[in-house]
Order: sequence, then structure tokens, then C-alpha cells
Amino acid sequence: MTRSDDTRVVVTGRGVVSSIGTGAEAFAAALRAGRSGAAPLRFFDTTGYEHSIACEVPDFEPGPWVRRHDPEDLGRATQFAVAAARMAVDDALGGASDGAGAAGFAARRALVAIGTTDGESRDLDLLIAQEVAGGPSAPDPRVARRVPAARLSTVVAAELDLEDVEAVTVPTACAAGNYSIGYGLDALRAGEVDVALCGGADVISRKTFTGFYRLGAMAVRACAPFDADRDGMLVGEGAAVLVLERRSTALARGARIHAEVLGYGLNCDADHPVAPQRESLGRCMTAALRDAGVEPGDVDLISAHGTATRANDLTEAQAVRDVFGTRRPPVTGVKSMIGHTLGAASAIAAVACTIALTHRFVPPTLHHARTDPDCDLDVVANTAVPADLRIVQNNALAFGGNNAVLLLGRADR
Amino acid sequence: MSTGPVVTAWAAVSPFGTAPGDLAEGLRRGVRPLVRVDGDPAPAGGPVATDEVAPSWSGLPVPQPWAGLVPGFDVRVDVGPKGTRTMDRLTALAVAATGRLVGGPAVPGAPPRLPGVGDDTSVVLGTDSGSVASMTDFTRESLVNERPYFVQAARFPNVTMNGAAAQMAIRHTLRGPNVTVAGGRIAGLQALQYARRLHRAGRAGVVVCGAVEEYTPARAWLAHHSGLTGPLAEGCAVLLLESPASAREHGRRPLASVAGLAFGVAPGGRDARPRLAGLVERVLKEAGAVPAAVGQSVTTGGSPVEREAVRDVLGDAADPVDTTDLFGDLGGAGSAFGLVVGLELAARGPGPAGGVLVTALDRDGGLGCALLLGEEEDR
Repeated sequence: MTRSDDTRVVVTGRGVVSSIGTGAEAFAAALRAGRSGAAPLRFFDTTGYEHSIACEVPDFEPGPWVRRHDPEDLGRATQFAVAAARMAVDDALGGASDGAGAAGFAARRALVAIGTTDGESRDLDLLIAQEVAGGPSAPDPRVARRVPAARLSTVVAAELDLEDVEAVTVPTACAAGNYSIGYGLDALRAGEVDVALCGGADVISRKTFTGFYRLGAMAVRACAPFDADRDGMLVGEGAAVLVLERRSTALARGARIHAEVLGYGLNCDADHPVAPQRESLGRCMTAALRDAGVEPGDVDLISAHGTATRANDLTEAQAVRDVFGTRRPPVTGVKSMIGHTLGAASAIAAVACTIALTHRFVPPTLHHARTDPDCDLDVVANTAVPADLRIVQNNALAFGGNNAVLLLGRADR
Repeated sequence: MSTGPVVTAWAAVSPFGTAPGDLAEGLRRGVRPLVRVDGDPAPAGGPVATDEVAPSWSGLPVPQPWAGLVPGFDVRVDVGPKGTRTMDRLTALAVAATGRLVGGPAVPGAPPRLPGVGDDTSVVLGTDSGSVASMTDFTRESLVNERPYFVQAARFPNVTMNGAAAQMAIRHTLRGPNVTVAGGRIAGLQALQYARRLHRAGRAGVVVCGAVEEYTPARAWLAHHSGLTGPLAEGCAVLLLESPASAREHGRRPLASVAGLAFGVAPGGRDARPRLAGLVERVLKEAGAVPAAVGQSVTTGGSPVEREAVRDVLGDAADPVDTTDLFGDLGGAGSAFGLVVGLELAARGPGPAGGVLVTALDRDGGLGCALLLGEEEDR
């Protein structure tokens, strides 16, 4: 299906908060350098855990980004979402999100869709710590008011002075970023909104660190997707937001176009609460390719979900081989650099894909000594590789069998 | 003219009960189904006392004694004994309501699976913030147990907000797109919007769409600490959405068409009334409907702001019912209950069902409204 400019959707702004860089250019430099955000976890006392490496965002200051609220009234995930959204809108307007172009931007019918896994779980953990220490009346009301997951999207809308806006939080766990971007794509294709701010945000919490640790899914030292000796994931945190518009609107206002959102696919394994399923993931990839009007042979790179657990990487590799056959594209895993940022993961990875397209390189998969022969993939290992990419696929698999696969294309294809 | 989808069935497990006719019967009797959480499950009339000493639920302290509970709800009975040992209450309510909607082999004693509901049926579920009890129990165990990782691995899937929707899919074998939206009081309307967009984009044919909320001490305390004082309620309401062609093919008469939805924000509640009124005007205009097309309006927040916004547009003759008045504060499930209460009330009366308007206003700024039109109004 050939789409007109009125139903083609493009990315005109991008913002990112991550353990290896905040802002698209800092993030791009870190991707190109193959930097790792892994370090000993500092946020809570890790006494009793045998290992506790994680990818925290160091020294995050909400002040520059949060302008309409007291930052103390916002949980950290909401602060991350606001920061990434403001960066993305600044980028889309080629200047300040409070500047002259902002009023016109804010007057358009908008969608804000922010994905997450944990929402403000760090604050929920804090309330429980207060209760354990001081009884059921001890929790702090100001912290309690920060908790509702809806705030990740409604506060973004308020911070950016958006008036005619539908703000929704999509907590579909580790696939939430792709879900949000896909939701924006559908709303724009249907002409129901004029601009969509789509992405995801998550923050490291005791709850989630403990859960993955208890499942035996956590690596001791490093996240090594598709490596023969990989031993699991690392938790990370961060946020990314992309500004999406119809191509006709972007061209009309002379916006810089970073990439095109070609299509996506969604499905559900309906099988196991946590373990992924090969055939179902393959069907999701096929559905995404069909929605994008792309043949498997047209895909130049797959940005893998690649958590580096034994189960995920094997299942994902098998699904890739099922769909792409012997001429499968190279694969890379951004989680090797920033850990698993949960609901932000596929949004940050989508930004990384747009950077790969605009800056013409493939971000490397770190810690790669030897490709697992059972995965049998062409992994872009350890060092960034220059590449003229046209089409990139971004995979996301979540607990609950929630799969979402996104296709992105170079702007000037 | 609306191009669907249409609503062809709904089901609810609510403080009025879990059987198919219980909601309708409860609305007819018109008594708010509050009970003492720690005492004799007799319905409460009149104002609730707030000076009770140390009320408790299953031995755990709670901040206030009255709540709208799904009577006698037992996951091992209402969902079944298999694989439910670690299922949390929120998930159980959602799975139970889904079983009552779609029927089928997973539900003990249920009618057969509805034709056309199958492998590619989609699920869209609204919630406030998932099962707060599951999340806080998990963290508490980490803090108080001998080792910080002495937590129950089998409960980890419950601590993600999409766990309930995932179990709806797993238990009832629904493999289409599976979505959760977290929107507080407007979550049910956001779920309907998401379902409508999936359907219109050709990604989902039949959709199970609704919202859920649980009553637990954890939720009660979180509500209390964040300044909510009224009695809480729990339940799950789900609707079946499909194309008119699918409805015809499977012998189901549409109850209403999803004519349109509109959303906005009122940060800090500022200008909520005119903004919500503006959304109601927009949704009528975009559906090509006049105010008189609305036979039944439903608000969900128990506040005069919503009521007045609706009457600003529909006129003084409009007399919306409110789900918080009817049940107690249903949290994330409120606006889904608004839809089913609206459909139930609109179907009463002698003539063809009039349109249903549902509004919702969330404390964190979200506003929403939805318009469902009967076949006569929807041209």
C-alpha cells in the first residue's frame, strides 16, 4: 500500500534521559562510543544481595525541565517523562518549547502517550518503608499523591501547556514504548490528532530489582545480549519521547524530519505470564512488516529486545530466523549499554534507531565475546559500525506475552 | 455517521453481585451496597460513621469501615481452583468478569463460548495503577524478611500493571492485541478509545474492553493518605465490541454504537467544568447528534462539577446518575461502570434505547467523555 503524505507519519523531535547520556546528541555520542551505564547500584542499601550492578541515571536534576510544578510533587518517573518530552518538543520546534512557536504547537490537537512498567514504584516503595518503620499512619501524603500512573502523561500535558490533549499512560511493561509510538501512529493516520508525543519512562525501584533478582534473571556483572556466556539482564532507568506528526504537516512547517514511522504490530502470546513464545513473537514481527508495507529482505537492522537472559535471547533469535530466513539482517541490543529500562526500553531503543538512521551508524552490542551458536545471529559486536540504513526494526516483548514490533525508515527514502 | 464499533454485550462483577442480573436488580432497588468490611455483610443505609475504632479486613487494619465489596467473591470459586493460588484480587475480578462476558470452557458452569470470540480477540483493560496490594506486599517482604530477596517469585507478574489483562488473555485464550491503560477515573473511557482505535485501524476485530479495581487494605490506605475520604468500591465491568457485520454474523443485536469520545486535561482541576462541557459539545457535534439524543447521562466522580458540566450542554432536564453515588469510589473501574450502567438504564423504558453519555474527571487532571448511540440515533 502506497501512502500519501497525509497518512505517512514522521518523527520530528526526540528526547532521551539515560544512564549514558541525556539529550539526543549526548546519547548519540555515547551510542557511537559504545559506552556502558552499568555501575554498583547506589539508590538503596543493597546489603544482603550477592550482586547489585544496575544502570542508574546519575545526577538527574529536574529543575531545568519541570516548570509548572514543584518537582517535589512529582515522582521521579514523571520527572523523567517531562524532561524527555520537553527535549523532544524543543527539538521539534527547533528552539525553546516556551518560545514563539510553542503557542501554535500547543494549540493543535495532541495525544500524549507515555508507556511504563512500574510508574512511581519508587514512591510506593518509600511509602511501605515509612509504614514498616512507623505503622499505617506514617506514610507521607505528599508522596502518596505522586503515585498514580496517570500522572506520567497528564503532567507532561500540563508542563507543555497543551490544551486540546488526550493524555494516556500505557503500562504494558517492557513493550510499552513501542505500544505508545504505535498508538500515536494510528491516531495520526486516522487524522484524529495533529501531533503525538509518544514514549516511555521508568525508574529503578527496590521492588523490581528484587523481583528480577529473585527470578534468577539478573546478571552478575554485565548485560551481554546473544553472547554464549550471557547470564542475564541488568535493571536500568530512563525515558524517551518522540514527537510524531503527519508528513504533510511536518513538510508544511519546514520541520526537520529524523525518521519515518512505517508501521507496527501487536499481539499476545496468551500462554505464560513471563516466558516469551517463539511462534507468537514471529507472528507479531510478520504483522508489523505487513503494516509497514515492508518485506523481510528490506530490513537493514534489527534493534533487538535482547535482555540477555538465556530464554529471551534464544526465543527472539529463533523468531527472527523463522521470519527472516537465511538472509536475516544484523542485530544489535541497546540494553547492553543502558540495561533494561523497562517501560522506557523500546522508546529509548526507538530513539537509538532514529539516531542510527540519521547519524548513519549501528550502535554496538557490548560485552560480546562469542555469539551463542543456538542464537545464530549476525551480532554487531562491541564497536559501532558505519552503515547507510534505510529500514530498522525495533522489537519489544513484555511480561504477559505483550509483544510489540515497530518499523522505522530513513526520512529521505 | 459513526462507523462503529458496536457494543453487543457487557458483564459486570460488582458490589451488587456476580450473577448476570445482579447489576440490573441492584440499580432497580436503588440502595447503595456498602458493607462493613469487618463485620456482618448487611447493606448500610444512611451516612457512614468515620469515628470507628480500628476497623479491619481479614485481620489487617483499614482506615475506614465501609466499602462496596463484591459479595462473597472468592477467587478459587469465581475463577476456579486451577492456577489461582497466587492470583491477586484485581486480576481475579477481571478474569471472572471476562468469563461471564465470553463464556467458554475456562469458566466452571458457564454458558458456551460466544461465537466469534476466539484466538484473535483483543483485550483492552483500564486500571488506576494496577494491584497496589501486590506491589506493596512484594516490597514489604523484601524489607522485613531475613534476606531482601526472600520474596515470592510466583507473585512477580502481579506487580506489573498489565498482569490482569495478561491473565484475561491466558485464562480465556484471547491472542489479539493486549493493552492496559492506567488513567485513574478516566481509565474506562481511555480503554474504550484504545479499543475503538485498534478496531478502526483493522488491528482488532472483536475486543473485550473494560476496567477493574480491587478493594484491599493497601488500596484503602493509599487512598486515605492521598486525601480520599469517601468509601471505596471494587469490581470489573467489561463490554464486547465488534463490527456491525460481525454482530450480524454471530446473531448479536447491537446495544449501541460507539459514536465518539473526547478527552482533555484540567491541571489542578482549574476550569474543569467548562472544559468538560466543551468535550461533551465536541463529542455530540462530531457524532452529528443533538443533546436530545442522549437518553441517559452518567457521571462517575461524585462531584457537582461533572453534573453541572453535563447539564450546561444537555439542559436542566438532564439528570445524570453518578457511579460513585451508586457504588462508592470505584477508582479505575468507575468509567467502565458508567458505560454499563448507562446501557442498562437506557434500555429501560418503552421506546428504543436513547443515547448514553458518560463523563469522567480524574484528580490528576484527566477529563473524558464518551457517547454511545442506539440504532435510531446513529445515522
